[in-house]
Amino acid sequence: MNIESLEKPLQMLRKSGTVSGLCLARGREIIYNLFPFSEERVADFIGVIDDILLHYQGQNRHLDQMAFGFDGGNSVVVADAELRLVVFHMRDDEVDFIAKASRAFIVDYQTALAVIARSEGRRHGMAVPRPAVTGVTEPVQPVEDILQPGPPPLAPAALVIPPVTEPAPLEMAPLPPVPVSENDSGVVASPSAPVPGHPSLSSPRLAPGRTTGRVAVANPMTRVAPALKPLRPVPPVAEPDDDGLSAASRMAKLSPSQPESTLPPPRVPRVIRKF
Amino acid sequence: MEDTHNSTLSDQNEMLRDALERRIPRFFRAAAGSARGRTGREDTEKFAEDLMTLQECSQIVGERLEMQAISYALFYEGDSAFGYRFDPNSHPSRPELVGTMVNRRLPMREMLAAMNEFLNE
Repeated sequence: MNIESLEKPLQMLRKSGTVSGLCLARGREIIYNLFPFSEERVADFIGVIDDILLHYQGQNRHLDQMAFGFDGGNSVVVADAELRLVVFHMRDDEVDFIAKASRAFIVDYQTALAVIARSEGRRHGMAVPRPAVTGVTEPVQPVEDILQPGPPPLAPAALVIPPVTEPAPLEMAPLPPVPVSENDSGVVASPSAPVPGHPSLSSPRLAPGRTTGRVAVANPMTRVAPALKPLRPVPPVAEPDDDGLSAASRMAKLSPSQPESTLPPPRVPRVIRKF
Repeated sequence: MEDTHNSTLSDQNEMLRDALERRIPRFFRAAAGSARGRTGREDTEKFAEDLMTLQECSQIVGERLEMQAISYALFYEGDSAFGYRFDPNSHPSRPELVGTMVNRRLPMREMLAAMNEFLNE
């Protein structure tokens, strides 16, 4: 996953509402930080969030969203397994909107990671575990079902091999000779003479005929070039006059009685003086 | 601890059952190390236990953010929500707070508004 696909939605979330900072982290590892604090302080803060969630997980309680309000701002923590998105905002009535946007980002991020992992696993020819996505739970097939033994092997007595029979010889009837003509180029013209070969379901059935001599043209569909239409005669070009203009150009010339332009005169731009 | 002056145990259980069936918030008050509720002793004890943990968490978070004055804290756990809010009109030396528990993911904004209404009752 490149940084642009990660950075753009987080930057949009950072600019939405009264959000003043956010941080994406996996456990204690900071993936992307947009907090206006120092790195040490952000790392300390993310560590505290990780400790809180781990404390609840130790009691078999899985918190997926937390919100804290203080006199100087509010913070929302949206968690999904090891992934946490912490957003700091100013107005407390934006908490649901920010949490929803954060949840959507986390789901998209997890999905992108799953797609990348699946494609890499397919590339290397190995099985890839399905990552957990928030809100999507799929029953996992137990290993015992996957590793079920196949069908029992057949006993040697059950194998019955049919006797091999000799194929019937092909009956070939004598064909009448087809007259062929040879042109100057040395190629035998045979309008309906396909290439002789093994008969198959896809190949057309051989036409009743036989070619003798050299056969090079095997395509029965020959394209005939259409007869060219006779070219229309080129209209004569008018001779230029003394002033170098042809007759058509001369017709577009204004008459002496016509005014030069019916448009109003161009406006004179006003000069705006800046003091 | 528990407010048992105006209601009997059967009434409390009835209130808890009704709140769970209708999925409406159950409200509590806490001050000076004690919590009061109307939905039974067990429910109030559960609230007090969660309140102590969440108060400590919000205090640690506030220290890291250098914001000591805590206003509220909420969390979602599965299909249930929990939260508390300090009463801004209470005395700083003896702060009081209201808390709520609900067995659905009530929007946090609505939880805060409901606690404000309960404070103003």
